[in-house]
Amino acid sequence: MKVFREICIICLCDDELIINAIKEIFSDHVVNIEICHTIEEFFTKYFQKRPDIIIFNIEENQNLNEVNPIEIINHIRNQLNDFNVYIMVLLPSNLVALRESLMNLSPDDIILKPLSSERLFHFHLNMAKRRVQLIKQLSYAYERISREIDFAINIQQKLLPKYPLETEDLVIDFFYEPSGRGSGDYFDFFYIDKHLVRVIIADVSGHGSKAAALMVIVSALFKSSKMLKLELGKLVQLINNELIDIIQGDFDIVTLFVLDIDTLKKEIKYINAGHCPGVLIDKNKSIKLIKPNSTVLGVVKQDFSVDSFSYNNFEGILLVTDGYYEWEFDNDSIWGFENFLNTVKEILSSEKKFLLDMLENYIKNTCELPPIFRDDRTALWIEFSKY
Amino acid sequence: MEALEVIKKNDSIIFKYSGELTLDIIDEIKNEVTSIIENDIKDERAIIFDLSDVSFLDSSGIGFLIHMKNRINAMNKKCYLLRPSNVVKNTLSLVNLINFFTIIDDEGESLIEI
Repeated sequence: MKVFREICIICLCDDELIINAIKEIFSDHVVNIEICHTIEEFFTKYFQKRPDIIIFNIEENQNLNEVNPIEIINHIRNQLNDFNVYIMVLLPSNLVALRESLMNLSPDDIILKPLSSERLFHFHLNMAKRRVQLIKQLSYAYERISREIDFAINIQQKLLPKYPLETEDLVIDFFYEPSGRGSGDYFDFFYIDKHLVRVIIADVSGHGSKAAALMVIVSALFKSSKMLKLELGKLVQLINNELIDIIQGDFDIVTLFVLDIDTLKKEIKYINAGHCPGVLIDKNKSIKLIKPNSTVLGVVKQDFSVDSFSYNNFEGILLVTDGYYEWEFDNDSIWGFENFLNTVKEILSSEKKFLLDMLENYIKNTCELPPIFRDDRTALWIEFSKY
Repeated sequence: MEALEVIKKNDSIIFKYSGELTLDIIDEIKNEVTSIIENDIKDERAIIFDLSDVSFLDSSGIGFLIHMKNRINAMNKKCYLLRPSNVVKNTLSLVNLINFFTIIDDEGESLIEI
């Protein structure tokens, strides 16, 4: 455990007894003691030094217009939202009203005077010392974990395609918006043969580092299928078996929609493992849903049947993750798949061709209040007949 | 947890949850339900999840129900979904999981089947 040896204390007093006690208790630290007598002086030092401890020593006949602990503590806690700094107030025991007001403002310690012994103040300073050390260690650990997570997220982002795919036969455009740090959504596409494009969209339940880690595993296995030339059923079986081994005992699931698009035969083979339906749009702008033909992954070992269809008469297929339609609508209700489909239909009836940007704009114009997206959102638009 | 009601009835334990069954709450529910199932179940033959007041089910909620069913079945007990709300039914249908569960309209049905 890292030990922090530098400490800054602002004292709103110059009582020798207090200063000496600080020096004694923090003798194993490099301690910077700043002494202030006015509010202006205090806040100048506060912003310059960002102290670890603030000590007020209120005297019985003190002029509170010069240093008003209520005003200062209120500002620190409620305006600056600084709950890390340790605030200690020494207060004459007969100032009952001031004590009551102070207690509402959450100082860390109120010590009533006269002190029964010097050792009592040492005891309180030691408590402050331990608390400051813990806060510093916690902040340090949090920053370290944050850096690690950012590093992992950075890797995760690198696994996703950066650019749409645009060839003579096919256009694959995408929209991706993680909900926070670490996403459970995954999509990818690449040629596995001259006329064969493999596309995947997957969703790990939840988000954060756990979902991101599972997503990386799905990605690695999916990418390996390019080299191993695994057929779809075998690929999904491999992913499922690996996920079962990893997930065991936890409550995670993965949904996945994977397609092989043969641009020569104009045929699609697919497995929809518990993923939300794909929206297939024909050239007359009507839609057909490609519902799941197997169940979610990570639960039970199973074989996966591959279905196929010819896309000759179709314009494209829209694949999304559930975050695309499970978001908070006006008045706390969930938007839902039906509304999502209706929006797609609305675009198809009023626009010449379907584009992902339109979907975003239509969704944002659907509700009066800005939509509150809870989950990662991914959409893939595979267009068959651009040229 | 206020939203989770646990009712012991005849040979069954009924978990009635009201509200959104989502990622935000799933760990808490999981811990409570798992603890009861692992420690308190003796002669009960069925575990019933009353989902009639569930207003939303996300993928974490689905994962919870699937894995819970598998765990309960592994203990040689039956698992049922009681009167799932339309939202729950629609969500499970959408991802082809509606037939994965045994749905009942009355807790008495679980006893008949046993």
